[in-house]
Amino acid sequence: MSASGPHATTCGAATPDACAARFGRMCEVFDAVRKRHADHVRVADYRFGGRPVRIQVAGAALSDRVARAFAHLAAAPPESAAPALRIDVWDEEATGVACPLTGPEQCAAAHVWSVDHGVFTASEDGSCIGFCCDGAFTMFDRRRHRIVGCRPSAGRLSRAELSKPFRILLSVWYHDNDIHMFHAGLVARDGLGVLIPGRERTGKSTVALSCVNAGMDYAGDDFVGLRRRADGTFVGHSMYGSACVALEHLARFPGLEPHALEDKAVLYVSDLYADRMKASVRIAALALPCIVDTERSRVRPARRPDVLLRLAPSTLMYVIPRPERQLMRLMRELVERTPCFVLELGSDLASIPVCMADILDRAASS
Amino acid sequence: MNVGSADALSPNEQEAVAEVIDNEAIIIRVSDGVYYSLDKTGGFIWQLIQQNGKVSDIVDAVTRCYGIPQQQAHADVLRLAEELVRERLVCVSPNAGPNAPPAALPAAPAGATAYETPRLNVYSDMSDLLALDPPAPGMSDLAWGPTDTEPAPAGTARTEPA
Repeated sequence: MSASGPHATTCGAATPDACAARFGRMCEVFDAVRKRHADHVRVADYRFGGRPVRIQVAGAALSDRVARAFAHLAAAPPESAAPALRIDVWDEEATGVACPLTGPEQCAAAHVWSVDHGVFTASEDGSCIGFCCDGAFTMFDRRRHRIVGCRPSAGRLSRAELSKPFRILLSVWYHDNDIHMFHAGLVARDGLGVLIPGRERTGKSTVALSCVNAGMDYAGDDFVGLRRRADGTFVGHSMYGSACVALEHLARFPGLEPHALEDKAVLYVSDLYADRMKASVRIAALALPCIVDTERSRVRPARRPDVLLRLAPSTLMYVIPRPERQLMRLMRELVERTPCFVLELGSDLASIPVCMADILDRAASS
Repeated sequence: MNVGSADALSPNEQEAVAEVIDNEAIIIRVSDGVYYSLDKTGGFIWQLIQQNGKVSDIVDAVTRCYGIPQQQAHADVLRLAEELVRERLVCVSPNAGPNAPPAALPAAPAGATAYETPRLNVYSDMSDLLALDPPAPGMSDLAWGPTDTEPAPAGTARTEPA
C-alpha cells in the first residue's frame, strides 16, 4: 500500500500485529470498563444499511448523545449472537478510565493522514484503521467487524461527533458492506426518495427540514448511504437522524429552533418527528437545489451531465476516505437511471415541499 | 509539454477519475478537487483518449465524424491534448509507433454533425474550499478489502425496502 498525498506519512508501529495489539488494548480496557460500570453501560441494537449493529456505550450522558443520532435506526437484536458490526465506546470522564494509548501511540501506524481536523491512520494492510480528533479516539478492525473508542467527556463533544458519530470510520464499514456514503440529503414520500446532492450552503438542509416539517419522510440532510441493487435500482440508507443547520437559517424554522443544541446548530430530527424517519427508501429522483432570488420555489428538468457535475465533486471530495473510481461509476449509473431535476429555491419555505411532491409525481410518470 | 501526432494519450488514472454521460465527460482531479467538463466534441475526444488512442487516430476520427478539414481537427486535438496534459488529466506515451494496437473508436455521438471547437471547462470552486485541507486518503489507500474479511456473522442479512 502506498500512502497518498504530501500529508501521508509513515511512522512506527507499522506492522499489522502492532495495530492489532493496540486495538486489543482498547478492547481490553473497554471490556474492563463495561464490567466495572455495568450500571452505566447502555447496549442498543440498530440496523445500519439494513445490517444489524450493536452499540455499547459506557457513560450515561455519552450514551444519550450517541443514541439520539441513531434513534431512528433502532432495531431488535439480531437472531444470531453476533451483529454485523459492534461499536464500543466509553466516556473517560464519566468512567474515570483514560484511553490506554497516549497521543503518539494513537497516531502510530503504517500510514497517517491529516484529515477533517484530525488524524486518520491505517495499518500496512489497511485492515485496521483509526481516527483521533479533539481527544476522541476510535479504532476499527475491519476483519473483526468491531469499532472501539473513547471520548474525553460527553460534555465536550465536537459538533461533528454530536451530529454524526463515528462518521469517518463508519464510511469505511459502509463501503465494506457495498453501501457508499453520499454527500446529499434524502427525503421521501410513500417509500420513494428524492436525493438532494450539493455542497455546503447550497440548501440541502433547508430542503430536507422544509419537507419533514410539511409531513414528508426524512432520511438525512448531509450524508446518506447508497447501494445499487442487482436490478439496477438504488436504495438510499439513512445514516443519521440529525441535521446541521447554520443558526441564521434555523431561525427560518420557528418550530425547530428551540430544539437545536445550544450554539451547535445540531438538531435531532428523530426527536421531533420519530414517525417521519425512514431507515431506507428507493431512490426515485434527484433534485439539485439552487438558490434563486424569487419568492416561490420552482422545479425544472436537469441535464444529466450537469447533475453529475454537481454530485460527483462534492461527494468524492467531502466523503472521507475518498471513494474514488468505483463511486464515480456508481454516480454516473445513478444519474443515468434516475429522473433529475433542478429545484430552484425561493424564499418561501412552504413552496419547497410542494415542489418536492411535484418532483415525485413527475418521477412516477416518467 | 508538446504533444505529437505519433503520441498515444491515456487518462492519468493516478490523478483523475472520469465518467462520460450523454457524450459529455466529467473529470475530477482528486488530489485537489479541481473538476472539469468536456462537452460535445471534447467529450468525443475524451472517449477516444480513454481507449488509449494515438493522436493521429483521434484526429482521423474527429475529421470523419464531423466532416471538418483534417488540419483544423489536428490543431484542435493537439491544443486540447496539451491542455489536458498540463492539467495532469492525461498521460502521453511518446511515439506509440505503428505497432500500437489500433483503438476501437467509440460510436459518433448523436447529433455530432455540428462541430464545435473542443473546450475544457475548469471549475476550481471545490479546490478553493479544500485549499487549506491536505489531501484525504482514498479507499484505494486502504488496500484491505471486504473480500479479505472473515465472513459476516450468520443471521446478519440485510433488510431493505422492496
